[in-house]
Amino acid sequence: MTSQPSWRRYLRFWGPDLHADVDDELSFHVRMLEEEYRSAGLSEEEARRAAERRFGEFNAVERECLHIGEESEYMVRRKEVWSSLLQDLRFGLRQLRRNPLVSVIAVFTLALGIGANTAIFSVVNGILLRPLPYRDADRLVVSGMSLPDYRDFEQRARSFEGMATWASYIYKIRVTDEPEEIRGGVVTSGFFALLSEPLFGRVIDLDNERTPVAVISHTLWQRRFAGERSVLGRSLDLSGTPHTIIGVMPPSFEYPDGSFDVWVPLVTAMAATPAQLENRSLRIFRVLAHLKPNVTPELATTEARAISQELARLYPQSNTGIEYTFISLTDLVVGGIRSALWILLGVVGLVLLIACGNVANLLLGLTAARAREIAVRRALGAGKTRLVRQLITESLVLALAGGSLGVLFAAWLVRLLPRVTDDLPRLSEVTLDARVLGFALLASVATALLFGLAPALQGARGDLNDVLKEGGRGGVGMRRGGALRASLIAGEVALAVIVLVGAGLLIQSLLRVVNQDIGFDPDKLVSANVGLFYFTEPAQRTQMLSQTLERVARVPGVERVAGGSALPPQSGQRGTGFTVAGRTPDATEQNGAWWIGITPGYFATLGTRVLRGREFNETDSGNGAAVVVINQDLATALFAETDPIGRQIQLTNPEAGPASRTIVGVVDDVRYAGIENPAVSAIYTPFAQTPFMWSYLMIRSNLPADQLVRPLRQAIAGVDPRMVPARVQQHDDIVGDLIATRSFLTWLLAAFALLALVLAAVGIYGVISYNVAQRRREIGVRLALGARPGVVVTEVIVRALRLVVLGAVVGLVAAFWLTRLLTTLLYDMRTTDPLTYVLGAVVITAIGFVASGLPALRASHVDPARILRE
Amino acid sequence: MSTTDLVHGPLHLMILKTLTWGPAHGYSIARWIRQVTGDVLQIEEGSLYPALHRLEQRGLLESTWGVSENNRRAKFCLLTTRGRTHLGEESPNWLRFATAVGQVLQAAHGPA
Repeated sequence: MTSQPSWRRYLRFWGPDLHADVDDELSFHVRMLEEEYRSAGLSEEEARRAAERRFGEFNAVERECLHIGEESEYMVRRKEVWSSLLQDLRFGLRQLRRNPLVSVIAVFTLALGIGANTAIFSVVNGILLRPLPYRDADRLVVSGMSLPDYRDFEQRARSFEGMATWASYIYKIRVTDEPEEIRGGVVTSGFFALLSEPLFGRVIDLDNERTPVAVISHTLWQRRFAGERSVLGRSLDLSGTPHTIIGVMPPSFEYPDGSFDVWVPLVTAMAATPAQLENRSLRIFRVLAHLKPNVTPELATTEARAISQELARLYPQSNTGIEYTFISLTDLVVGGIRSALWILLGVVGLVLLIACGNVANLLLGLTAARAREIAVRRALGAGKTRLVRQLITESLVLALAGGSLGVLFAAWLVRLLPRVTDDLPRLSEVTLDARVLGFALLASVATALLFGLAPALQGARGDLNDVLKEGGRGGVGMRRGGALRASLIAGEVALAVIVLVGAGLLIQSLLRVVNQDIGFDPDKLVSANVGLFYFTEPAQRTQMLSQTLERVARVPGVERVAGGSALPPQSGQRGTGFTVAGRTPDATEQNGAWWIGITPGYFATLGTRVLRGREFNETDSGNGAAVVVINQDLATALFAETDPIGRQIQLTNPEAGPASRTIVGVVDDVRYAGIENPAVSAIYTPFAQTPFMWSYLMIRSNLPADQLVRPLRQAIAGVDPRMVPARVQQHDDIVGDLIATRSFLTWLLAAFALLALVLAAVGIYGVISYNVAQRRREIGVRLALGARPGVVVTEVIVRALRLVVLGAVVGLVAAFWLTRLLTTLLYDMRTTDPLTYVLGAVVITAIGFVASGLPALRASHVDPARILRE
Repeated sequence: MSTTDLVHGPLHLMILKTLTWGPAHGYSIARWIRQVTGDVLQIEEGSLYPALHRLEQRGLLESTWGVSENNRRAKFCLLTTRGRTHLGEESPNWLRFATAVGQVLQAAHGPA
């Protein structure tokens, strides 16, 4: 009947035994049945059997009862856990309320740390972790080619499911009175099919690619068409050609970045320039391709290499040495900023660690003050685990309060972000989504364990005997606590030094970028683009430009003005190859240079030094001798130390004409393609001898661009209204845009470094103050015995500085290793730059000095008489 | 009224009702029900004990170990306040239900 050994029931001595209970309960019933049958006249044996028959399957009933019993026990246990947690929480809240100042400081410190982490994580999440908002975004790869090469690839490549190509154009539009320049893409019919659907309307496809239609961006739609749906079917004039608007893209469509506002069919746009369609060397077309399943970007590149080699065999003139590669679209969009963002997240994590150190210090103080309470509770039977759990729960309460506040702080920071920078890709996708909130929660809990564990263990260790012996001064475990505090301080200093050195390296890099010689002076330099393509006669273009320059020179506020086809430091606009009479280039040589058409006075206006020979003047006219000015880089490359003046050079760009040109001057290197790229070769020709289809008016002026716009436009409209420039920009703004991402990252890191320093300073101050408070008696006695206050002050400071220096050394060594990660972000310097490390050490020591000096001074003001009376 | 209510409902209520006269162990509960119904309802032990444990889990009755009338150690069940309330609320429902079933089964006329 029962397989349970009878000794089991003795287990009940240590608590209820479910199994034995059920067993007893059911056995009783069977016994009673037996008795019933016996009294009805059955024999003992018959009664027993009848009872068992009557009862049925004993074990099945027992099993079912046991199951219900276990269920109940589980429910009871769960209730107990929750109620003890609730009890802990309530007790924790009461403790925190009892120390409002400490609680508030801790919560705000944590809110700052967790908030900053959450904000940076939301940036990482929006930019790096979330997939690009395109169909199958992780299967898209990109490259750059010429159109004929693209067509050959489309035919031969087996790696792709679909391909499209496009090129970037600048269009002048005039929806209202103000003309505006916008960036547009001329795209093939497959372009949108690879990327995404329109917000509404249609996109460019095979049916409409031979008609002048346009798809516009969400921003253009909002800005120029007030977000009206009736925009479909309206006409948009793109640099003089009317296009019908057929669709609007969603705001998330930022391919390849957010600066594009209009897309038109490539076939239609290039109908006027058929030569470009067949020019195998014109590699301005960007290629977008969708990888077949199972094809990696590497595999596609391998195939691309084979096709490139085949093309090089077929078209040696244009394709020798040209090897096309594909990179993933994600890398193209966010590759430039990926490492920087992860580094920021790491740095802000270090800041949070410092914050944890401070909070841990605060709590150590609290638990030390509570040593009596805790020791008494232990003596009354509270288990050590129970106490640790209690103290950790208090930390959790703090961390969750800090985390909640931190999320609010992060939300504010994220809303602030677009106003601080508009230069990061995918900025519109940075939001506090579920993943970011999850991160904040995780960070809070991790933080609680980090800052709570040490004080909890420390606190629970308290021994009643020690406490009672201390005579109620609450100084239990102070020696041990002191060591813990000291290592916290050293750790905080080390972390702060790492952040400080990192920020220092980036700040120096930024300063080097800003202060370097870029070959011209962007300050007070204003430029405006005038289109000359309305004038088909080359001589006419020269004449229109010189008339314009004359008028603009008379505008008030204009000191100097000259024309040039390039926009430094943003773009050189056009390149050329060249040959030099009597010189054979070696095979490795890059035989290319910027080709820039300029008017007399160009270098004087830009502030570029003429190193040899002369600048162009009025004699270098259309009928004058063919001349060029070259830059220093080219002069060194071609002629080394010999004098280039008087040598002959021939430009191979067909539009420069066949003439051999005499070099009349050498000028300083101007950066024409970004200010972080080294200057490359440049060849200047007189505009009158090579009239470009456009020119930038380079204006040296006291007035800012926005005050010049109106008089400038009036002056130019006086020559020909079609030439009125859409954009007038200041070159210091252009420089600012070029360094926007760098300065954003740098100042962010600098802000974190400042935060780290403040936190570390607060930490040092807190610990030293506490230490001084603990030693008041001792200091008082020593002062009473005649110790000089100066000695006391020095002693406190020296003790603190020893910790700071220890931390700084550890931090410097760690920084030496960690800053390698910054290598790609630095400009013109190494991560081991000694000055930065020395500065970091000096700054942290100075801060340690100040932060420990204040409590030290207070210590020396201790009144011995009062101390002794206490 | 769900199916489980239909199956277990009456048994649960009968057990609770039995306990209104005082604490009782499983055997006496079964015996009492059998007697009251004139041997019509023979509660099977296989249903009785799980029902007792279920009612205890729901807090409708409590149990305690005591000594039975013939000096054996037995588990006694006591009605809790919640159990009493439950009984008061549910009994009328079941009486109505039982009457309704009777009306249907004794109906003299078929559906119109």
